[in-house]
Amino acid sequence: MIKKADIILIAAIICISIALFFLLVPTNSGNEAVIRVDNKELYRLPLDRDCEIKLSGNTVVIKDGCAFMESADCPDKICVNHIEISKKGQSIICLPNGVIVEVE
Amino acid sequence: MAKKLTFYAMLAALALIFSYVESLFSLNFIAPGVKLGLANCAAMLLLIRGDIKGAFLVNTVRILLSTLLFSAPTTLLFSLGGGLISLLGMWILSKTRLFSAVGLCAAGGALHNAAQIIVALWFTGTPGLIYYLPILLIAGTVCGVLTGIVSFYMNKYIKTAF
Repeated sequence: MIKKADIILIAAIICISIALFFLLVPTNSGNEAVIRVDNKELYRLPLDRDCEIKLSGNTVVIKDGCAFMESADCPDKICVNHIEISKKGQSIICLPNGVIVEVE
Repeated sequence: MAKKLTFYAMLAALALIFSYVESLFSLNFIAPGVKLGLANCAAMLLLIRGDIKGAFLVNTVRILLSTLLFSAPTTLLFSLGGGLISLLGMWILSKTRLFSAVGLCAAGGALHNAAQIIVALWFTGTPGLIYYLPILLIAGTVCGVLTGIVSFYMNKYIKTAF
């Protein structure tokens, strides 16, 4: 069922992934959460101030220096299940509603 | 032709059931939107048997229907991009005759997730998404090995009379 070439291929992909992981992992804490809807920037919020932003279908909450999606009316709830974000470059995206929360 | 069409339809139906089962449990703790990819077994079966046209047909039908039934229309671009690019990649790799279903599926899973990240980068304009690439590549490879094993046994036990 498994050939030698398969194992070489799988090992190569895993090695490349691990190398990429160490190259790309976000480490710097961010200062602001930027909320965009349909690629238009609506809010730019400092992470050190707690607040709650209600959009048409989504609620974004900033608490204790982290941003997260409190609720959403989309079918898949990928954004709501996403871990809270605080590092530069991290993002939470609700594709069905076109909402992007990104830390800068 | 009628027999073939019926077989395609049955495979598409099977893939839809796999899609439904996958939509019931979430692997979101790994990375957003991670799925096993079992639905691809139907197209894999046709690819293993050298029917690339059938594989593309079944996969496209499956993606269109499962997006309409279980997901939001905006995600169609992502599913189609990932599904078709991974199938194209697996087809090219299968031409070398070096790899078994397991290797092909592992590469397909990784390609699928890489393609989705590229579509997401282009679609949302959020460069930070690239952070997901390594974890998605590994998840795609592991899930691909599992679907490859399932496809291998499907190929062994599903007999057709044409």
